[in-house]
Amino acid sequence: MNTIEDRLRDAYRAAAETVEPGSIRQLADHAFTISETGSHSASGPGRWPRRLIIPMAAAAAVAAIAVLTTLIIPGLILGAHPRGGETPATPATKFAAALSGMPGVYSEGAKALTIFNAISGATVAAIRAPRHDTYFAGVATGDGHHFVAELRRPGVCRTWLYQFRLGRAGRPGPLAAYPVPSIGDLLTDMAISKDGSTLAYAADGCAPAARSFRAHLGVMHLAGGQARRWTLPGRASVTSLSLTAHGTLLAYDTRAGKLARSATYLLSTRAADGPAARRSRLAVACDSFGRSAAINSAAITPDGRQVYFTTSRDLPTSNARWQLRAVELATGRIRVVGRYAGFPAYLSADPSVRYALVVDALASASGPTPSPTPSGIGSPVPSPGGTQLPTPSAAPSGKSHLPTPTPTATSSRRPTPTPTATSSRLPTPTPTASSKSQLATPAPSPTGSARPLAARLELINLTTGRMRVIYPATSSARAGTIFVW
Amino acid sequence: MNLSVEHAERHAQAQRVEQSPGAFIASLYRLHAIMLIRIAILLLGDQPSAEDVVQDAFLALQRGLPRLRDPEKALPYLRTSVVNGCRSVQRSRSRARRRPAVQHPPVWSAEAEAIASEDRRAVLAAVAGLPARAREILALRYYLDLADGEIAQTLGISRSTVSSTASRALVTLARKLEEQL
Repeated sequence: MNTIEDRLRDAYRAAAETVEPGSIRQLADHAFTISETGSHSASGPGRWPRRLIIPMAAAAAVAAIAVLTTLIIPGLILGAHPRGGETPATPATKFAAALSGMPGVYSEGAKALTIFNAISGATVAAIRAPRHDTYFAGVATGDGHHFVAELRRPGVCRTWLYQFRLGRAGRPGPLAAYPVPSIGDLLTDMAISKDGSTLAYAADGCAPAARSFRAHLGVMHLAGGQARRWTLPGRASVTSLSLTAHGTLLAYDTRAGKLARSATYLLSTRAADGPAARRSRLAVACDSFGRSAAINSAAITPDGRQVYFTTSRDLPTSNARWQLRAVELATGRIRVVGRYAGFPAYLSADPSVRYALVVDALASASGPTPSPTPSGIGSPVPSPGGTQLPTPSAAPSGKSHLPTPTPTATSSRRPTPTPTATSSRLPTPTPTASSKSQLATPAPSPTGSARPLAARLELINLTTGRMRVIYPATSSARAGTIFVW
Repeated sequence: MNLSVEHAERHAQAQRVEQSPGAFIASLYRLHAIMLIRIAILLLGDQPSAEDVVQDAFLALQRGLPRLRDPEKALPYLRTSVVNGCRSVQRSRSRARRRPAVQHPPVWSAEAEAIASEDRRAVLAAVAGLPARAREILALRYYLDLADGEIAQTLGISRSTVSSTASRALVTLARKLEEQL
């Protein structure tokens, strides 16, 4: 090991071997069909003559600006890809689930869950509700393979839990009863630890007319059968939940209200029953980001060291901006991972918390608004069966996982919305509102008086902040659709 | 491998590409992704960015697949694509210097705690101080063991540029490391 060349070889080998074969991200089934803007355009075989590069690049830039706000390119790309081809034998990929199949009658809820490839957006499968009088109200997963779905019946204050597993190609197994078959509450959000040992939920009470109505958090440790329950102050509501890998720590964030501020808290899942406020510790509050800033949703990493969260100050207007930040829980240091255009309706991190799906709402009167954030721009990709994932809602479903919540005095998240002219109008969320449910009603208005929200689904690399659009913006967003890894 | 066998294998491979491009790319990914990620990590320093670049390279290959007549050229194409992708990432990092951009510590930093040997870290830190082209040439030559001709093809430069740049880089490295000693 004397020469500089030997030392170089040795050092390179050591650095390269920090990448373990088992640790690399696998190429997704349909990743080949993602359209990219070519931020890393390759040169190699088929390289164009140099004299053409500058004029062609200029022309391409002008063309890109002109058409990226339309669906022309996605349409062309759709046509360029083979349809109905066999699924290539690629390694396992990452799949997400979305509520879908919601007809105009919102009280019927989601009649199906759609499984889709979170990288390409291609639809893989659909799961129908097991009975005609039930509907899906939410779904959660801890490891990306084992999913738990919430089912409800109209007018019944109870949530039934079912489970299913995804195979390597994203094909779901049969729906089966979860070890905790039902909960006497309407869940507004749910999280499962990566090891599957702990289920956490946020719920509204079942007696909205009574003064005793209280939102609360609950945790069930499946191995020992212990359950914990913590009440939330006033009518505070939780906007997102996440658990560490072994379910020891619960991160939740609250929407700003009379008795609560927009903040993210940490709660030991072994803490004694009682008021959540006394058992929790503050991870980050929105105060440090400006007077009108709000934390929209958050996700704790499996090791419990960091919490990623989105913040925004603006309404979903055409020039709204939001930030993805991370706080180190040991030091309290907060860093900005990325800044983006739009309004972050909901952040759903993958089990490793390396990537997240974000439903980004943008005010748009005439169509999609491109984000100035660089990175590849995707387009809808046809599924093998030719079906497309339903358009992501501008109101992703926050905690409420409820189709079009009706803002009643007692509970803004009861699942009894009606498709009337008033209920389908665009709500006017306040700058401090961080709930998905506040955005969850951009259904087409019969009167057409509401300005439509456009929404798009984005995949964000949480370490680099790089964003890729899975579904481009659309103004015909459906209400109540949620996305979960 | 004699020429007729080689020809037959190439023909069979070309047929496989035409019949199932997805399977062809999947097999390429299975075989070469780890090597490409490793070369990218040598140029960029962190695994997430390296993986992004490699995935983009495979997507670029998929787009260009209809124009790819010789499947043997897929790997050189990917290598070029990865090096170019790394260059793009480096450029965007330098543009983001004014902002508090989030970057992972490179694997050769003490902070990353990925490499135990101090000597190796010192070598890699010294390499990191070299110009971009020199770093690319050294990584391709001393990690992938590519010949100067292949490096020239990958980077789109002449063979003499490769050898002269490598020589200069080695001299600079030796001087830097001597100084440290």
